[in-house]
Amino acid sequence: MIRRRFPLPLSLAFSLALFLALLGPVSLALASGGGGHEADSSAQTTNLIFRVLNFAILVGGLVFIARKYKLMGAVSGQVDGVRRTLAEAEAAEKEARARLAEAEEKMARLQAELEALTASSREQAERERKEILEEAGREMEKIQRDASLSLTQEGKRISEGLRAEVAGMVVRLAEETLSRNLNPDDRKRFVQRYLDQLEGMKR
Amino acid sequence: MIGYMLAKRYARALLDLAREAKRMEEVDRELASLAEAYAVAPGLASFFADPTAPADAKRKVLEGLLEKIQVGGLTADFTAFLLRKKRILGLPEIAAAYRDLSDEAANRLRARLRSAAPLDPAETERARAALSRLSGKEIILSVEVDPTLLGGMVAQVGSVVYDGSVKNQLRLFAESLQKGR
Repeated sequence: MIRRRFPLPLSLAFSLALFLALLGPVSLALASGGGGHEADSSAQTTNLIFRVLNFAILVGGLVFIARKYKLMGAVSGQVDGVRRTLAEAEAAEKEARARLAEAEEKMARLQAELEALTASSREQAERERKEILEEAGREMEKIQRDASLSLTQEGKRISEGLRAEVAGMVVRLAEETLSRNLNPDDRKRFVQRYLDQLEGMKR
Repeated sequence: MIGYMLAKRYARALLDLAREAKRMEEVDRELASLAEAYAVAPGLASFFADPTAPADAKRKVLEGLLEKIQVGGLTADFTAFLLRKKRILGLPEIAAAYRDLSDEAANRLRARLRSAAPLDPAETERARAALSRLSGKEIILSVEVDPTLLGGMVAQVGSVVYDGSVKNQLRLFAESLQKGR
């Protein structure tokens, strides 16, 4: 905001000028107080002279006051200041506009970046979700496979244990039966068979 | 105990001497008798190992032993030599090494035959002949009766085993049952 302030001498000069301007007509009225036609003509001339004199005094006073208080320079300085201020204001306005444009551009860029970031985040979240799901699937498959393998192995172990137990029982039973029931002739037959096999073997 | 390598060195030296004297078999039998005496009389080895026992006493005990089992000549000289060299405790190992070397020199193998039932001489001879044919060497067979075999026989020649026992057949059967075949 530009404020125009007149210095104190300037206001004093205006007051003086106003006083003289008001005083002029009063003196003219006092001067034209006489009668007669000739007297009227002379009075008019005198009136004119007074008026001119009054104006000259007014102008001289104004000039004197203006010079004494450097009123013109102050007015000129004020004008320059106003001009400078206006120029500065214009430059400030330009700069403000430029800043505004820059800010708007930045805002637009930020908006785009924000959108890109949001899209990237969504994409990454989706990718991570898929990876987690895949990993969970793999883990589940592994658990199933391990469980299946474990079951198979356990079944195999039980089966082998049973087979071993059955085989052991069968062999023990067979040994007991053979021990009880083999007679000397049977034993001889075994010996003969062994000797036949030994003789039939090749080197 | 003197270790197999040292025992083999002594045995080889004795074998060379016995071969020259043409007494290889006799020395083998005498060494086997002495090793058997060691086995049946553990106190004998302890006495020979005792460092406090006088050497003269040890020599007299050895001479008495040799006389009792009728060992003389080369074998007696060899055992006296072992006593002097303080190697007499290795006699059983030297006897075993001598047997291995003399068997090798004579192209012989010792086989062990276990049978569930006693064998008659003809059966023993058949087994010996068959094993001799298979090994390509003369077989000296030792026969044992082992009822736990249930039936049949098991022959072992060196590291080769010919197992024709009923017990082994049952074992194989049990294995096939376990494998489900």
